[in-house]
Amino acid sequence: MSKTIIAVDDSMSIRETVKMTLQTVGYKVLTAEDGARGLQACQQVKADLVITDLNMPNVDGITLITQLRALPQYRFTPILMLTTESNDEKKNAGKRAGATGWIVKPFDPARFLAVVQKVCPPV
Amino acid sequence: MNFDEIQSRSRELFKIEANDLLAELEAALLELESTPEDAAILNRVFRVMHTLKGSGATSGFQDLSSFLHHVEDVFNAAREGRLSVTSELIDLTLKIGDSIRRYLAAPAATAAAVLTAEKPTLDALLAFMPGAEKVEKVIVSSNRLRVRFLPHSHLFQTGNDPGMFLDDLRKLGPCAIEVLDHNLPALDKLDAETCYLGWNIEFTAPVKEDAIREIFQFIDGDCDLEIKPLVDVPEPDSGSEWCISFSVTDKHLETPAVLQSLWTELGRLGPVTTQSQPPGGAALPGTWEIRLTTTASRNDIADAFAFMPGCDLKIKAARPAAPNPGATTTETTQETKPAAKDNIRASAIKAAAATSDTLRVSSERLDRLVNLIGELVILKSVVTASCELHPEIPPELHAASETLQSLTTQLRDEVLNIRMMQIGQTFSKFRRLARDLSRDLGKEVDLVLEGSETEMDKTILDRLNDPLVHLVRNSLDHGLETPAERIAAGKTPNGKLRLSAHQKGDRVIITVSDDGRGLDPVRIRAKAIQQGLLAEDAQITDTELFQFVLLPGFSTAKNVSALSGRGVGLDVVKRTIDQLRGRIELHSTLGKGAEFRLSLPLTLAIIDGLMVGVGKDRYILPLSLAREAIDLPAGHQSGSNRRNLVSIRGEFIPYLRIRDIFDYGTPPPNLRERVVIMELEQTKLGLVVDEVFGNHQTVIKSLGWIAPSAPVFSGATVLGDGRVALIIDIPALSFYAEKNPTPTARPTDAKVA
Repeated sequence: MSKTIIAVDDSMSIRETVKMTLQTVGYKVLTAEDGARGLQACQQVKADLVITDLNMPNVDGITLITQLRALPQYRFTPILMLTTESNDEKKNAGKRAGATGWIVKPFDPARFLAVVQKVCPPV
Repeated sequence: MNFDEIQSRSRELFKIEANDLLAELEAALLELESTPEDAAILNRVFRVMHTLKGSGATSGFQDLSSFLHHVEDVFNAAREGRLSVTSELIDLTLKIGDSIRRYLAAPAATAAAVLTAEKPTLDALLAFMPGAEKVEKVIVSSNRLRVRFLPHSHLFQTGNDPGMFLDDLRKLGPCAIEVLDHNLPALDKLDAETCYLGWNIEFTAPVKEDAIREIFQFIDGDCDLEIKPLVDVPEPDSGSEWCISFSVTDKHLETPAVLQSLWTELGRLGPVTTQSQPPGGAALPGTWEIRLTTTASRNDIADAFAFMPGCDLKIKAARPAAPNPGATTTETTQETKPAAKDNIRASAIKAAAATSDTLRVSSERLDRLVNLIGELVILKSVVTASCELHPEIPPELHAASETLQSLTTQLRDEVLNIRMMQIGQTFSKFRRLARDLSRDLGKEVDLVLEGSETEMDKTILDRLNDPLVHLVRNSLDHGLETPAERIAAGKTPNGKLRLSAHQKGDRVIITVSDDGRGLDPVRIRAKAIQQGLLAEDAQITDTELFQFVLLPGFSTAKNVSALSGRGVGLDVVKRTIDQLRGRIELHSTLGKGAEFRLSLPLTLAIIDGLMVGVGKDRYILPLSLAREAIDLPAGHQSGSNRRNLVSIRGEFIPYLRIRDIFDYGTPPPNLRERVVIMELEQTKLGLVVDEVFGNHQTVIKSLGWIAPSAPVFSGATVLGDGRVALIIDIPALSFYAEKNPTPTARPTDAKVA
C-alpha cells in the first residue's frame, strides 16, 4: 500500500505543486490550507509524513507541529517544514517544536523528492 | 523592512565594508612584496580575502564569492608554503583587487561582466598554484573519511530515524559501518523511545566532507558528528608509551558498559599498564592514570574516551620511557601549536576590540552637525553682543552668556575634531601609484612618506586626493629620470619621491618633492616671454617664475625639454587648491629636483578670527597669523609716508593700509590708526586698520559666485548684530596689493622683507 502524505500550505499553487510532485512517485497525498484543517486531516487519516508551511493563517505551522507531536500516533512521524532560506530562526523554532527536517522554498522537484524519500521511503 | 530591502541594504553595507577591505588588502600586498616571507602579512592577506568572500556570499554577491574562492586558494597555498610569493603574483592580485572595486561600483546588470573580463588575470594567478595533479592527490588522500555518528537520546522524538542517515551514507560510497552499543542498557531498563546507539562509519573510497554534513543537516544539534580524515598522521612509531590521566565520576560508573568499552578500545590500541585503579579491581571515582604502549595516534587514544564526557583527559608522551626521540618531539609541537594559536586569537580579539571603539557615521550627517554648530556659534555672538550692548541686564544672564561662549567654543572644537582625519590614508594610496607607475615607466623610485599622522578636515582631504595624484604622477613621469640617466648624472639609480605633511598654525603644509631633473628657469622664462605673459626685462624670482607652470596650457610645447609635459594638468591642481583656499608654490634647482609646496587651511568651516574695523565695516583676519597689534607710530599717517615700513623693535616690517587698498577715499576717523602684524610663511606684513576689536569665532560662509572676482577674501561671516564681515586672505591681499599698487602701497616696499 502506498504511503500517505498530508501537505499543509495556505498557498494554493504550492499545495498543488507539492501534490503533483508527490503523486508522480506514487504517494497518496491529502492537502489542507491551514494548521487547523491540517490537524483535522491528520486526526482523520494517519499520515506517514506531514509537510507543512510555517506562516499560515489561523493555526501556523509551528503550532501544528507542536499539536501533532502531542498526539500519540504522531510522536515519531516525520514532519517536514517548508521555509525560506533566510529564516534560520523559524527553522530552529520548528525544530524545537519537533520537526524532522525542512525543505527550503523555492524548491526544485528533484530535490524536494529526495528529501521526502529520505524521511519517508516509499514502500 | 521586507526581504528585498534587507538584501539591498546588506549589499550596500557590504560595498562599504569591501572598500575598506580592499584598501587593507592593497596595503598588505604592498608590504608583502617587500617581505614576502612574512607569515603575519600573508595571513592578513588571506584573512581579507576570506572575509571578502564570506561577507560577499552572505550579502548576495555569490559570483564575487566564487571568484574570490580561487584567489583565496592561492593564498592559502602560499600560507602553507606550497607556493612562494613573487612580484608577479602580487601584481595579479592587485589587479584583481582593482577589478573587484570596479565590480562593486558597476551597476548590477554589468557587474558580472567585470569579473568575467578578469578571468585571464585569475587564470594567470591560478597558474601559480602547485601542479593540479598534486593537489588532486592531496585531496584524494585526505578524503578517506571516518565518521562518528552519535545521535542524542531524543532523536526519535523529531521523527528522524538513524537508519535513513546510514542509508544515505551508503549511497555516498563503499563504507564499513560499525555499531557502537556501549550505552545500550539491559533489556528491562530499555526505553524503546530513546536512542542508545551510535555508529562508526569508515569510507574506503574518497568522499567529500560537505556531502556527509549535508546528509546530517536535519539533525545538526540532535547528534554528535565527528568527521576525520583516515590518513594516518605519522605519530610516534611502534611502541611509544603514553601517559594517560583521566577522572572517573560516579556517573561514569553507573553504566558498567562505559568502562568496559574503554578497556576494550584501549586494549585494541596496545598493552595497557595501569598505575592506579587496576581494571579488574573495584572501580572508584577519582583521577586515574594509565600507561599505554601503542602505535596509534593521540587522536585514536582520545577516541577511546568518547563515551566518557567530562573525564578531563590528559594524554602525554611518557617522557622518561620514550623509546625514541620522536615522542618528545611530538609532544613539544603539540604543546606549542595551541599557544601560537592563542596568540593569533589574542591579537585578533585585540584588533576586533580596536575597531569596535569606532562608530561609522555618514559624513553627510557630520556636515549637517558642523553647519548647525556654525549657526550656534553665530547665535552665540548675537547673545554676547546683546549682553554687551545692554549693561542693565541681570548679572546672571551675563554669566550665562560667558558660559555659553566657552561651551560653544568647546563644542565647536570637538565637532571639528571629529572631521579631522589623518592624512596617512591618503598618503598610503600613493605607494600603489608610485609602484605601478614607476614600473610602467621603467624607473626606480623610493617613496618616502612623512607626517602621515598630520590631521586635516575630511572635506579638504577628500578633495586633495586628485591634486596629489597629479603631482605624484607629474614627479614620477617628468621629474625623475630613468636609472641610466640618473647614473649618468652622478645620482643613485633609485629616484626619491617624498610626500610630507605637517601642520603650521591653522594650515597644513604638504610637499611633494623629487630629486629628479628639476625645472629650468631659463626655458620657462623664455616660454613666458614668448607667450606674452612676461615682459622681457621683468625682474622676478624663480619661485614667481615657476608659477607660470601652473597656468593652463603653459607648457604644452615639446621643445621645453627639461620640463616637457610639466604643466599639463597642473592648472587643474592649482584650481582645486585655490578652491580649497590653499596656495601652491614650486621650488626647484635645475638638475637637483623639484618641490611642490601646498599650503592648505586645516578646516573650511570655522576659524578663530581677529575682528578689525575700517570705517563702519568689519573685517576678519585669521587669528593664527596675527602676532601683535600696535598703534601706528606718528609720521605714518595716511598719505604722509610713502615708504610704508614700520619699525618694530628694530625690525622693519612693510605694511598695507586697508583703507587705501579698498579705496575708501576718506581719511581715518581716529587720530591713531592701529597696525596688526601678521606673520606669513616667510615674511611679516602689517595691516593698518582703524580699530582692533579682538577675537571672533568665525563661521566661514562661502562668497558663492562673487568669490572668483574677490580673491582677497576667503569668505564672509555673519556678526552678532547681523552685519556681514569679510574674511581677508592675507597672502592673497599681499599679492593683490603688489599687482595693484595704490599711491601709498608700492610693490617694491612690500617686498623688502
